[in-house]
Amino acid sequence: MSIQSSPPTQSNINFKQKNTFVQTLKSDTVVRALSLVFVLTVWEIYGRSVNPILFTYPTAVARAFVELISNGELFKYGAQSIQVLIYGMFAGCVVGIPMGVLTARYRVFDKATDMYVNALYATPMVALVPLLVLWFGFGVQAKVIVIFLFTLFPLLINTYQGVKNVDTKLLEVSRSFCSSERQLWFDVILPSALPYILAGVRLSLGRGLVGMVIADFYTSISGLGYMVVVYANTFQTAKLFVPIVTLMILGIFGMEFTKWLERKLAPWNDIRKED
Amino acid sequence: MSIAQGEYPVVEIRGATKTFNDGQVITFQDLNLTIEKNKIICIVGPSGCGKTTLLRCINGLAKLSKGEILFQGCKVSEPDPRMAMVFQQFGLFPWKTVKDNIAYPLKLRQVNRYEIESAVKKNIETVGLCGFEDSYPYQLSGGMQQRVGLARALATEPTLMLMDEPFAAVDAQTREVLQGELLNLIQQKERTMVFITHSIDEAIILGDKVAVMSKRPSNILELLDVEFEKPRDMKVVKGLPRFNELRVHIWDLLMSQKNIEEAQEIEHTK
Repeated sequence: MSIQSSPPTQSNINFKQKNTFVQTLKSDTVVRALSLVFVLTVWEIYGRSVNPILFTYPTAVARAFVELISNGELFKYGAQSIQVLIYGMFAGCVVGIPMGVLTARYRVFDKATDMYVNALYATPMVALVPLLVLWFGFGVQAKVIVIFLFTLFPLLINTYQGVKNVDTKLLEVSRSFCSSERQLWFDVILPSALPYILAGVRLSLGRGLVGMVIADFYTSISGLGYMVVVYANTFQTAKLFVPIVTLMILGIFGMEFTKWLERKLAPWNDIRKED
Repeated sequence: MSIAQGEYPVVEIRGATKTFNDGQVITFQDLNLTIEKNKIICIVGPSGCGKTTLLRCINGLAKLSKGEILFQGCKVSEPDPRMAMVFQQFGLFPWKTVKDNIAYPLKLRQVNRYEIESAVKKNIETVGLCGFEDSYPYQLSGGMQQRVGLARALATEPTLMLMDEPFAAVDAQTREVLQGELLNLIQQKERTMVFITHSIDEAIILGDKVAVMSKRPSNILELLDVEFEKPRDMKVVKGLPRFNELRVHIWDLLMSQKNIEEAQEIEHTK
């Protein structure tokens, strides 16, 4: 290529990258689809040969899905679960993110709370659930508090890390241009901590789902966890898989949604990782 | 006040001393330097001699251990909006677009929206970044990123510009291009500037004066006048016999600091 020829423009480069990207995406999708078909077929064949009390197979699960959707049961219990999950996670964000910022920015806050945070983070939260049920009963309130406790710490700790990792050079740029502390928070600290906070949301969503099911187990009157308990106790294995698969789908969609949110809200971070 | 501003030099550094680790490490000691209005002072010196620290002290980002720095007759104790720094690693916010990065200091000052817009537009044109207003820093080359850094400083219309090795992080060719552009810029409109650099050539081309610093505990070894008349042309200046004389002289001064390792680093950036 001679030097005189026009340099590659931005759109040129993007086009080329997109092309290979689409190709890999296509071949990846084919591999995944084949794998899925294989696993489901093996499951179907094997599952039919096992006692239905102990195991089941995909078509039976699909039938159970249709039944539980058409009689409204799945939506009823699913909605109950998602409702408490949203409340709990919202409470976790509202408390965890500001606390993370405060503890990272002010030493007094940090030292006053770090023992409890570390101790509670290390404690398997499951151990606290019976106690919480004792205190708050079997209703929505108890479940929201369980989920809150499950989600609080990843959010708090990630926010803390994000704020601690703010580039000191950028803080100096702000100081050099005479920024006030309050302006610093919104111009530098929060945007810079945003990718960490969003990763915290992703982590806490996973933990929140665990908390949600456990809360349902203990309170046993509502939610997807309740469905699990009921169908397991009555040996309706195919129906038992319905809430399980629903939880799986909830988890996957939740993860993908938070990943999408990360890319959308912090595109600079995505690019830096690729470098 | 306006009369008083006229009387004082832009910056007066008096007996400035900066120590670290409770006085164990002396960065610079009893340093005196005056920066007159509309002059470009370039500071060269061996690595670790405290050039950047001195600049941070002038800006008010760091405090002196002894002595004082006066900015237009007033003692500097914290960053002053009339100064603007251009940073070695560009110091751009990755989550802000080019436009928003340039607007940032003006927004801090609560300048009204229309003024910000026109200042941003004007300075994007000045540094030749038209068409990249909405790009993010990570989409730009190092040279372009530093143009953003420069535009950001220019947009505040500072009384004093502080340049902390602004072209150290870009490749050699880009560096020469940026030097030429900066030279044009300071010849179009008179500016007061402190320019820290490792490059002797850069210092002579851009500076009205070149301050050569010694190794730690450092001080100004010599303050040279660069008497080439303005407007200067980079190529012409580099061809003048006097340019080479100054270059050799500064080189010898730096070499006299007898730290071969550091001298080699300077040679490397030449």
